[in-house]
Amino acid sequence: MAREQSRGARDARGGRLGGKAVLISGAGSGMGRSAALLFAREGARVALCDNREPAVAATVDAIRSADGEAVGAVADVSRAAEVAAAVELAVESYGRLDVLYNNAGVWLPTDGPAPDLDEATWDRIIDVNLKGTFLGCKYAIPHLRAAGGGSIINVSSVSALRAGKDIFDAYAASKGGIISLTYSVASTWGPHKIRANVICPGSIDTPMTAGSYADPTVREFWRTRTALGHVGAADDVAQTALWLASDESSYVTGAVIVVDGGYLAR
Amino acid sequence: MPSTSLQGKVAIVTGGGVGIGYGIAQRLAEEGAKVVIAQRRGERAEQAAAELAAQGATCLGVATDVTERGRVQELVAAALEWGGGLDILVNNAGISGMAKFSPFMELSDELWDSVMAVNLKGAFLCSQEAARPMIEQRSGRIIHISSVMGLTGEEFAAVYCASKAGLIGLTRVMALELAPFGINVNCIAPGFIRTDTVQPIIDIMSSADSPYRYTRRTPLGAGQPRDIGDAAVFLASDQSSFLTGSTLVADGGFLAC
Repeated sequence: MAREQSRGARDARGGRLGGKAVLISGAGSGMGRSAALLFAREGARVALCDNREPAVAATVDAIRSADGEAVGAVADVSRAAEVAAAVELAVESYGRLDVLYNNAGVWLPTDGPAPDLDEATWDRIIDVNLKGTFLGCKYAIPHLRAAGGGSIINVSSVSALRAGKDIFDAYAASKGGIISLTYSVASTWGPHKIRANVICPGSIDTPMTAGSYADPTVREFWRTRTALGHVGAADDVAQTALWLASDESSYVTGAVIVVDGGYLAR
Repeated sequence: MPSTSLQGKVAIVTGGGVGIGYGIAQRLAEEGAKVVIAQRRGERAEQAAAELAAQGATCLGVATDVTERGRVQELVAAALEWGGGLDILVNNAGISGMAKFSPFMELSDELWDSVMAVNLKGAFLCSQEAARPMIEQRSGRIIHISSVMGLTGEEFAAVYCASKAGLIGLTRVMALELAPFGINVNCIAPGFIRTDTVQPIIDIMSSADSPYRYTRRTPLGAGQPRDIGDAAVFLASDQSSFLTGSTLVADGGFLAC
């Protein structure tokens, strides 16, 4: 069957994101880095940010050495000016913005049950995960609108939908808020062809989870409760993000997509 | 690297001759799958298969009745013989029962039984028969087509909503039990998709004197059958190998607001 009939955005540049300008936060490691490399391989022009300068440079270099297009900014997504600057870098570099992937997130070992949870930890987790997602939307939406529409991809967690092991109050609340924010953004901006969806990863091997998964009992907890019998890889989540970034998901907005190997099924 | 390609895969799409099912069959075929179009009306199955073949697809039309185990066994056998295997099952066949106005207190046994037989028991029978060869080969994808009505309520649509919610429950349990055999089971919940069967219902529900209290809106407007085909390609391909037990809402934002 004629390939051009296919919905995938396979334009002259090639790839499923051919020509799209994307901004990915937290792209210095883990799921964000995986997505940045994958999106670039699929023809996207990638702007990325992370709060660690060497990690920004490493992902940009990796994309460029594979003949992809990338620019990078150092940004702490909890700071409005730094998010605004990252969005501006994307638009200045590529002349437009089509996709915003609010991937940056943090979990701190000082997170815990409310009586033991210090206010600074609560604030930091909420600031990065929830406020950071809001700030991305705040500065990107005018550009997505100017581009005639676009796709916003947020990252929540199965921990937003069910209390998990050693996942405590601040992280769970921050991830729950991201789902509500996604519904609200999808509702408001759908008529402008801006879609907003949220991925809820289950157990995934990333630098963020490496600390807690180093404890064999924690890793075994997640592995045995995941129907597929293994912890997922960062690329599993990147593949779903790629689909949401592409035109293959053009009727999907306000969706909560659980990528958990069957953890929530029971 | 995972891709959208379904080259070399064999798929069955129940109700694949019309509406959403046709859009699913078309998209799976465009990605290279060999598609069996199963439809109650055999002539429509064959006509749909011929239409898609004319676009370059490899398709087989099969007359079936998903409510009868014997017919479903024949369908699976036909797919295995024609395709040389079975990798993907899309349980799309369904009826709404909504053309007949049915407040809950007037809902007849007959309507309840007929909608449940196709929508829920049909998916059960097809899944069980299709899973046998998938278990043997230690791989497969099963996709149920539910509805946003399986996740919310609508007055006068009790049996439809119950049947579609049932599919979501079935998805979870099948995902758990079939995971050890390499079979991923997921679900799609479409919103309002423009099809010949749904259009009259949309018209009834949105008319001024409608007994239905249709108040929700869809930010992206009504969708097309191919949109659900796009979601089916995602769930049928290697892109989604860590998804199982999930329900993917493809509704243009209907449930979000």
